[in-house]
Amino acid sequence: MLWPLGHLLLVVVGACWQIFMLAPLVIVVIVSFTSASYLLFPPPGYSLRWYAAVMELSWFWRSLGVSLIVAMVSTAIAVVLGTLAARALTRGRFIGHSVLEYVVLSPLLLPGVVLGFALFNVLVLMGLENAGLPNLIVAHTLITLPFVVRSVWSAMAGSDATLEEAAYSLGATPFQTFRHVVLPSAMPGILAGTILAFTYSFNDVTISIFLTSGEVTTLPVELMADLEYSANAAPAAISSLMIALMLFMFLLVIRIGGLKAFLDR
Amino acid sequence: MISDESRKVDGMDELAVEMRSISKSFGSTRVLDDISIDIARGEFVTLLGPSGCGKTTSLRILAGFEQPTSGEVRVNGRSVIDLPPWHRNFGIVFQTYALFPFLTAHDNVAFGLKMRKMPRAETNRRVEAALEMVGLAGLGRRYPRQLSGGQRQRVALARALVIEPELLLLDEPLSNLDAKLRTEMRSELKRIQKESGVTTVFVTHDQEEAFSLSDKIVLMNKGVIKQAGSPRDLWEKPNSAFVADFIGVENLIPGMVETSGSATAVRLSQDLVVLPPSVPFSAGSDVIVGLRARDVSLLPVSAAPAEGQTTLRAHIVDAEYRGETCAYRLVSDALPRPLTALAPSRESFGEEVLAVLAQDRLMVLADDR
Amino acid sequence: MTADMKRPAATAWLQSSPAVLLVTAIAIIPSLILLFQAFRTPDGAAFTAEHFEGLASSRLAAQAFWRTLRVAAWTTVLTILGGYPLAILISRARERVAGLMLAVIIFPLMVSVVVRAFGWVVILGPSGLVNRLLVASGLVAEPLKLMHNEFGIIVGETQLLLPYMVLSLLAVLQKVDPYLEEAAKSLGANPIVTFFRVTRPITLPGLLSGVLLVFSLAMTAFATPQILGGARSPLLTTLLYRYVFSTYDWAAAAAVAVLLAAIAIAFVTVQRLLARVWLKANG
Repeated sequence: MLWPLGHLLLVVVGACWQIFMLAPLVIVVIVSFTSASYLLFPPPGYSLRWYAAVMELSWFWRSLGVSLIVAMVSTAIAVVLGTLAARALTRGRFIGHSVLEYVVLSPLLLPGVVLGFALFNVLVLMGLENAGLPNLIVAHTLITLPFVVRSVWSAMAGSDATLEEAAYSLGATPFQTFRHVVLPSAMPGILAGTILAFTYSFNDVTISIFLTSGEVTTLPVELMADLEYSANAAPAAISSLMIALMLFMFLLVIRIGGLKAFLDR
Repeated sequence: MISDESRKVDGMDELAVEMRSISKSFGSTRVLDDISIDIARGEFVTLLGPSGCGKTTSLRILAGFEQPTSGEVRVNGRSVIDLPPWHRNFGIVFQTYALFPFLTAHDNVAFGLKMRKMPRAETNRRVEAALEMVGLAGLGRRYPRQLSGGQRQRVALARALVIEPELLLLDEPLSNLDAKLRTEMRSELKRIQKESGVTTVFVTHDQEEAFSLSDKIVLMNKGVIKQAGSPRDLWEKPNSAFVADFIGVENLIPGMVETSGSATAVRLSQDLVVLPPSVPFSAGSDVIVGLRARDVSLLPVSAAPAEGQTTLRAHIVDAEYRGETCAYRLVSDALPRPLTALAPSRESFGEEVLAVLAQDRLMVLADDR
Repeated sequence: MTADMKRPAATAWLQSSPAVLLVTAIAIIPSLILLFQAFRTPDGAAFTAEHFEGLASSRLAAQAFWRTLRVAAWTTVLTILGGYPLAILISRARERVAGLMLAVIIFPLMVSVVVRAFGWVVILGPSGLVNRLLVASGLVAEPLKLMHNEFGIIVGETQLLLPYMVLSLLAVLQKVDPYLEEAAKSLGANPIVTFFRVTRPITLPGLLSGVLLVFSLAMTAFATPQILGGARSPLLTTLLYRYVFSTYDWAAAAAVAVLLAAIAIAFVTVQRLLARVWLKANG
């Protein structure tokens, strides 16, 4: 009757929202190829001049380096600490289990600006606000830890408990079982969690903006500053490069763990 | 490993397993109540019973995954209560096989040997031998997901046996297989057990499996042992209505014990009194009279019953064709319950028949269901 | 038995101690210090509520508060309007199509907020896509101010938070028995009625948790309002930033921080309580 029409309407509405979701990203990428000196849409012509320009920017390379180092180091630490914590959480109900859960996931609870400011405040009190890299690494480890814990926890909880019992019966001590059975079977979840943690650290601006000092800034923070000052398409080129990197990471996570890696709420 | 020293200690050491007065409660629920089981070396013992009877819990206590609330467990003479599973050296086959999905069949089987730090060459030799024994030679490189259900089961078995365990424990390993595969694996299992001579404890709810595989059956219900003995013992002399029911005695009729003179009989109804060969109950007791369907024969209504036979008029309400035989459901005024009889299919009967009860096959049992 | 099996609590706490120490030192303690400072007089001598009173009486702060509330409310409404169609379409689609649609919605979560907000700057700016289209087609004489105001923030935050609503709704929709809708239809209900009488009530828990999540995130977002909001439309978060780095009024900043933290914690608490209530009610 009328209802196929209604269904079509639903599909159209859905498509509009999906375009809405992708619009900013697509537009940025298109604009990054503009040949004009200013940000115009649609671009009058296409060229790679802005990518070339970005390659010359020293602050781009510097902040990119900082972002990569911070992301890699903090993710590495978060993975080790987070895997141990997740392992602890999978040991069924014990005294203080809820407390542990809340503590480890609490960085997700507090707003970014609050955490950033609180940390900055303490650093100033200790006179360390200009320490640069260590500050960023510590803060990023903090905010990526909950992601790792959640991913790893869900990966470990999903695996068959009888696998561990089988290992015990074959002579493996709890430590050997962890090393030879639990870790290997949770590996896809751990990897997916690692990649997600990396991207979260790389993209962060809210906390990083409180902790940067002079030469040591992250790419997103520099980008945000640049947005306010320049009206050209250099930020667009940088943004497109970041989108490309994140697309690669996204596809990697899906390859390893499928879309459900994102769905563990 | 089986150590010869323990054999010399004293006469009792022929027992591979002794479980003494094992009780287990989970919170306020009592799951096992004073269970005691003895298993001789090389014996194949089955823990049989409906779900929830405590058989799996008993196995898990033996394996070391659960601690009994009270009681003692000894294996080859020494107490294992305080020994963690990884020191017990028991081979276990789980219901879901629990094969490590990220290891090949070969590496799965080798796992136990690797934990024992056996050198690579020796490990490989033993793994190959184990795979061959279970009929999987050449499939070592495959991953569990590339194997069929039956093949996975064999890998699980090989993995448990290759470590030369003191005990082999199997938790309903055949229940995930389809019927044909199940009977196949059953005979495979029996052959392998006989060949290796390992003491085996098998858990199942399938009475047929238990009877065909075991040297000894321990029938359990609601945390208690109902009867323990050889398959023949249970088949011919069930000691209670529950046991009779479980092993498939079709007719269980309530009655009351009466004495008439020197003879003890059981009254099943106003019109029917039977004389079973043995009635170990006092007069006035409520009992259950058990009789297998094949011990109930049918005669046409017009036939003359022989002297001394217990006969009653009955009415066929249902007939189930079973190939060679046919199972008839009978209703009679002389009985408080319907009766099941088994007769060859080639014979046919009218609606009314005479049911003849084989008096010497009647069992008198306590009702504990 | 080893200590491991006898005392799982001890091993568990041992294993997680580094993580716990980190979180305590870097998040919990600094937050408590901030909390402490929010109630201290400037000379550090006594406890006071003057900073909060100051906030309450400041017109700027009050406006920022109400603006934050409005933006969050509008954003939430928009995410519901977008969330339902998308969640319904995904839950009904075939696996591949559903996966693709889900990917389109989830991928933006992996792109930095700065990049996303910048995209909206290009779209909503005075010489951006939308305005150029409007002017070129003659619908308006001058470019509309779509940016550096609440509208821009709402649009940006909607795109930011829509995935969370979709995922929340999807979680409950996937548990709905598809035959329920068919049963309703066979009993005479048309699709609209079915939606309101059958689908929506069942998805209520997902909707509620989505609303709580989106509202809370919208109130505490920083980068999006900072880029799309402009100096004249501060929200609580950008106000905090201004207090810290522009006016150096750290006491006021601490007060705002405490307020934001309280709001966030309140939302999570309500969400957990509701989840527990729902669980008990539905067994």
